[in-house]
Amino acid sequence: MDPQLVILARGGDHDAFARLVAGSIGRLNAIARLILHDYALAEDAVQDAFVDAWRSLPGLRDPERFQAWLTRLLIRSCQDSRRRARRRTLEMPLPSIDGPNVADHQATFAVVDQIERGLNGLTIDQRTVLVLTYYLDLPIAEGASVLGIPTGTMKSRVHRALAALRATVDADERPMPTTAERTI
Amino acid sequence: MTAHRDVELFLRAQFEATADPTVLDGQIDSVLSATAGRRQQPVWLAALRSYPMTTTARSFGRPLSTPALALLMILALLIAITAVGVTTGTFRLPPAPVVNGPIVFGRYSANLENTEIYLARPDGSGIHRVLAGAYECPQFSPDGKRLSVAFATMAADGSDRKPFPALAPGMTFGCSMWSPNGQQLATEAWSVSDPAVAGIFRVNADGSDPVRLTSNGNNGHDIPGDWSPDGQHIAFSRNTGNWSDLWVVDVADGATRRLVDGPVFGSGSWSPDGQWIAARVGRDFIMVHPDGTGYHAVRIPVTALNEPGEPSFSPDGTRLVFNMKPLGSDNADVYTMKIDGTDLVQITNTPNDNEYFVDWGIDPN
Repeated sequence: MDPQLVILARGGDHDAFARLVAGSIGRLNAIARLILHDYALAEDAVQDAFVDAWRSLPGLRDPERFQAWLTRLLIRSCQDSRRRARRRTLEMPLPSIDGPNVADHQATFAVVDQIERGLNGLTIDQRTVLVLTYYLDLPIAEGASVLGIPTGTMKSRVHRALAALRATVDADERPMPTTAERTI
Repeated sequence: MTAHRDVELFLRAQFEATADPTVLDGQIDSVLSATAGRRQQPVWLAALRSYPMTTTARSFGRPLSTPALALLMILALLIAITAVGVTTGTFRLPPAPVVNGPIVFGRYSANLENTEIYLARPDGSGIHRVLAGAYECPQFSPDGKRLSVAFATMAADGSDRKPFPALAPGMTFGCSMWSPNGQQLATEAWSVSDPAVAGIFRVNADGSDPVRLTSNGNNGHDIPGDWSPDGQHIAFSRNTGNWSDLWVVDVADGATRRLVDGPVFGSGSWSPDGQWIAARVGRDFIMVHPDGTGYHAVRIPVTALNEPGEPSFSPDGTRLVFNMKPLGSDNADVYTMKIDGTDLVQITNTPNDNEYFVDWGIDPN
């Protein structure tokens, strides 16, 4: 991202801002869709983040940090999505099976499906910390900075989100109880 | 998938496989249309923020009498009269001056992947580790003799740790703030399975007898700040999704009111004289009277540093302690400064370590 574009946009140049939007909207779409699991909500969150960015750009002192700053605005916009009244149908595409390098593709697809259903069962907050950590690969401290929480809290939230995800996956793997067990 | 570490492996692969950067038709035009007619905010207003937790410990001096060697009988009589006067409320003696004691802070340990607790003298000397384990958000008790951490209290030297009992099935304690008399704590609590129950609870100093004070109501977190010196109110931050606002709750009836509309960083540090509540907005600290009047900014006297943390009053009310990150670094150091924004003092200087969870205790001696 050209810092000169950021400086121009910060000074009110809307054409420069348009080039910044074009250069970053795909990345923001990907993040928002992973967090919200809803294409329409993600589109709203990305738009709100850009509107917030345009209005707040004069406060950005370091143009080099534009992308990190924009990501922070998007994360907050995604968190705000849960307060939006509109409820929409889940529109996540089917997951690809291009996952880890394991021989049995059928087993891999089952795992991918388990993970996907586990992610669906998490809260937006939980998916947010997982996306920050395992998609954006942010260190714990940086993720905490994005969310505005202490490092220890970020770590515990990641731990709890993973635990919730693991619980879902483990539940899927658990054999169905016998009739006798269900009766008890 | 039997090994838990595989979840992280597959999760990373899952994100890579399903991340969809496709730009929808008209999406860019929609963004540009939404921004084209909007004015940008002035620089002072366009700032970022977030929401952690802190408080400041404080104490109220006990009346002291200075014995005189001569005229022992007269002095004893005066003491008796004084005692009777104080007991009956006929007259009051001024409190003994409060002396600032040690500063406590957390330092991130890469080995533990968690926080360790350190103490330092107010001038930055004598830094030493108190607790080698993973503890969070240490806060001095009003008498400076104990620390509260998440889920427990302990002596200020790390001994005599007393964990809190379970609050309720599935609920977890967070950080706790001491009441002025040291007999109660306000603590954050939440449930992983039911985010709707998150709120602030008042508990005894041993974690017993929880009484709900607030309910977030937005699946966010209410994080307690300082109690007012009279113990009647508690400042707190309320996260409702996008940012945190600064609120105050009445301890007696749980009535809440919003003091500062966000974005606010910090849960509110109450000045020892009860006149001000401090927090951070953008890169400045702000102070506001408990009734919402008198809002003003206190600028930190540096330009080469940014990203201060939340401020906390010193026990004598003359200074603020806080952490602050250098530009481009994730590692904050601890600083103090006068409440008018002058006389910045760096307490720690550890470019490779991140320090946070800062609080200032009274000198217990």
